[in-house]
Amino acid sequence: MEAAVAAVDLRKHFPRKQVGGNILVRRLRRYVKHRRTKEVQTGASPAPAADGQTKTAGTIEDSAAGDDVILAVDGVSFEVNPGEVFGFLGPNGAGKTTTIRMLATLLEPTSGHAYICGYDVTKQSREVRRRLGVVLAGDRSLYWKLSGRENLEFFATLYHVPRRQIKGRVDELLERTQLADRADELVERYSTGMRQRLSLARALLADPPVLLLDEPTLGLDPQAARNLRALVLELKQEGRAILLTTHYMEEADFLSDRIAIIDHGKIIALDTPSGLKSRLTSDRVFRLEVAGLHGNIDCLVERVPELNIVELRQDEEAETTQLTFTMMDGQTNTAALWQAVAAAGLMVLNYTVKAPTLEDVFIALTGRGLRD
Amino acid sequence: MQAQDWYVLWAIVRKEWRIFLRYPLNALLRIADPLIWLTPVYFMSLSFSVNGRAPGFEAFTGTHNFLAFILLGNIVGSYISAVLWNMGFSLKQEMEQGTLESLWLTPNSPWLHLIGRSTVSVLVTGLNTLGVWLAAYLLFGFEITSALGPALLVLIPMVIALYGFGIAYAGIVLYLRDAVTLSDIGTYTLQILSGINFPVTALPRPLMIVGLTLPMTYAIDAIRALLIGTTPLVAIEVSLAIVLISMFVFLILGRVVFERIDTRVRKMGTLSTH
Amino acid sequence: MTANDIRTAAAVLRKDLIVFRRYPTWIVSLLIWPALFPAMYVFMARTLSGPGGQAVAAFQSVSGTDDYIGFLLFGIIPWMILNTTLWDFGTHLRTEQVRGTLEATWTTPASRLSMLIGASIRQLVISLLFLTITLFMACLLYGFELRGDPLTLLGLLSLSLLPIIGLGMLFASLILWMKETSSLVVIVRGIFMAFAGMTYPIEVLPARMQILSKALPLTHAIRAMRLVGLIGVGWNDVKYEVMMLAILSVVFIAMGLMAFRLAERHGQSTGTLGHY
Repeated sequence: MEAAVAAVDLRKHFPRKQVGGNILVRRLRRYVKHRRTKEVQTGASPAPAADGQTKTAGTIEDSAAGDDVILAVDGVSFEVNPGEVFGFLGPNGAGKTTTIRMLATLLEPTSGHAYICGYDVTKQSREVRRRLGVVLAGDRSLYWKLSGRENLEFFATLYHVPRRQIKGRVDELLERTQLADRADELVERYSTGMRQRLSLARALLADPPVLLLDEPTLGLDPQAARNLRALVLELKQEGRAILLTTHYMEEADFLSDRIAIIDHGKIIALDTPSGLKSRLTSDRVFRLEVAGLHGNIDCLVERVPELNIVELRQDEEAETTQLTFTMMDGQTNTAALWQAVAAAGLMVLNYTVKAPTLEDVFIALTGRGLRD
Repeated sequence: MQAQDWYVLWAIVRKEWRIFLRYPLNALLRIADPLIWLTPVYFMSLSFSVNGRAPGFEAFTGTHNFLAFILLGNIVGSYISAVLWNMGFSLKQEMEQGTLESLWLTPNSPWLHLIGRSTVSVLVTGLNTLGVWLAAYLLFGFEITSALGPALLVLIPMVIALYGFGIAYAGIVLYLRDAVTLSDIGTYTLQILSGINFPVTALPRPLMIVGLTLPMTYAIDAIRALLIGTTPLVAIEVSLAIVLISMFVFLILGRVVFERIDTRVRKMGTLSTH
Repeated sequence: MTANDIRTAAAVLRKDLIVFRRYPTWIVSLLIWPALFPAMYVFMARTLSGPGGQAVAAFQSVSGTDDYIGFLLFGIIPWMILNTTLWDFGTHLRTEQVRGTLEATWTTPASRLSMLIGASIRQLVISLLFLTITLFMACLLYGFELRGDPLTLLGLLSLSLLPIIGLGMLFASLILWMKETSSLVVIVRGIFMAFAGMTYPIEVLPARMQILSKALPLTHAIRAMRLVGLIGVGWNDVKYEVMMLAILSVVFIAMGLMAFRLAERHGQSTGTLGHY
């Protein structure tokens, strides 16, 4: 069976030096962009970054070549099959959105190829757009001065829905996205969740075999996010290929059949959620918070066989250490762990054992948290 | 164009028109604003007049009817500003709102959007013209009695030429992403150089030469000669030929420039403003 | 005003001037518009005066001067200052609201009024800078000659700026709850353009329109400056205009401050300070 979406060694480099324009304008623009990135990040992660160095992951300088380029997407390849939800998981700026935009024909790749239902996104963009439903991040892609219904009717024509079917199609989608009772109000009076649903309804107008969803639940309240996820699963049941980006790992875990973890523009792992989790050396993740360790973990590592530290966080002020780790053989090694703790004279503040999450996988792969 | 495209075009026109009507104050303002700009010029003309006749003006233009002179110039001038604002500024607004990407995502040529947008702009500006005309009649007793047909023959190709230019300009705005300043200064400069309030012969020599290279100048001049009998710069047939040629030139130019820039913008990924 | 208030105002002034310098559109507003804007009217006036200056006598009989270029510039420059004040100062609170800095500054213990005063002083500084550049351009491009006593003119101009600032405050506050006031700005600046005698002596207006003119502070400012700058009279001969300006300054600034207080209270009671 032909893949609904196929990307082959897709790359996008942005020049850091922009051509044209006044230098002041450029500086200002960069400043504004910088501020926005910051805002988006703080909005998404209330916890401050542990290491401030990776604020704009993905904006890697090609220092070897000495060129001033940003490698937003650096050679990604993957396929999405019909009836499959494919999750793109990664921190902000990892290249998720850039990839989506290339698939959506909004951005031309620097090199590599991408196909939607066998059509090339650069050479056959019209055919590609006929088969795509796209929800871009944010709620700004609708006309605020038109009602929900008017928006859908307008876009239905633009998506070449036959004239006689427009009304029925719009009604059906309004019903399906639970917007029917507010359909005739201006979009400016909608909540974020409603706008997001309307965007999804618009993406479904042409009944496309492929859906690209960029952060579909960003900014939604938990209930709205749950409803949207249920809808995504329904759409998958209908046999559509769905590519979705997110930086919520629970969401990726719950929705996706397969997940690509993307960081600095590269896919660093691609597997089913359980496949990814099984990469960790055990099926349990341990978290231990102790006082008195002072960052020196040798006393534990030396005494506990096959202890694999996933993450280490120190709280300088409280002089406590938080360890996340896996152990090869949980049962026998637990005893060794407690002996080591006792021998080192550490005070245990907290101890949990749980099934690994995608976040643990991400941390193990990149050495830092998703939201850092 | 296929039947499909006509439906799309119609949907775009309806969308633009609806949004225009949803800003009622702006719609009203589009009639009030030209009148506001006319007022200082009109009263300035009065301060140079004796018993309602302006001798200096008459010596320059060959007509004593300065109100009609200014009004006709401003009607063509309003298309200049409509083109720069509707093709430039409103495109920029769609970029900021994020709707431009939704449009570009549909399986249609960007041309349809530009043509739809131009159509509504011509329509709205036409209505404005009538509104201004009516207001000028009520406020200043403005009347035109001569046949309008030949004047429209000049105006229509001129407007088409302007929108051809507008399509190129839309491309420039996509690229520069800052339309306000450029549209503002561009409109004002073009209005000065093409002589919407005074004959271009009153401009200092270097500016006059620039003015004489603009097809609008000839359109305005011919329309005035036809309707109020001013002394034309060149024969009216020559002006008409200039306007017709420029119509084809600008349509082709618009297409070429826009296509090149659109490709470039897709490479840079700057369709939205962040 | 306490020392803290003065320090607040000074800090706002400093911040505003830095931001202004870093924001590139000042090039356009300070360099291009002063050169470009008068052109339309200067060339129109040239047309009206006729190829041989036939109509200058008619103009002199209503305006009292034959220097129609100077006459125009004394009308156009104050109007341009009003226009920039409405757009820049009149939207500064809104800009901060959109950026999110309005809430940040308003949650500090500093007096909000002092902040407004700081911003007003910034506008005064920029207006004077604008004036200097415009006069220089006018001399260079349009052959404008400054006659009359420069100190008197400067005094008159400073007085004229007060009601303009008041109007700016009014707009800055209105915009906080109207969100979108560009249409209103266009209408108000249009009223001033049409009726303050920017390009003509108000004597040519029909009588009932003259009543409206006299309620506009700009009318008196322009008239006084023309009298001093073109005819060369002293303070004594513009007493009436100065008095009207003083009264209208008080009225406009009082309205501005009142609107500011109302907007502040409205924002606090509805919690819309951070909205955009």
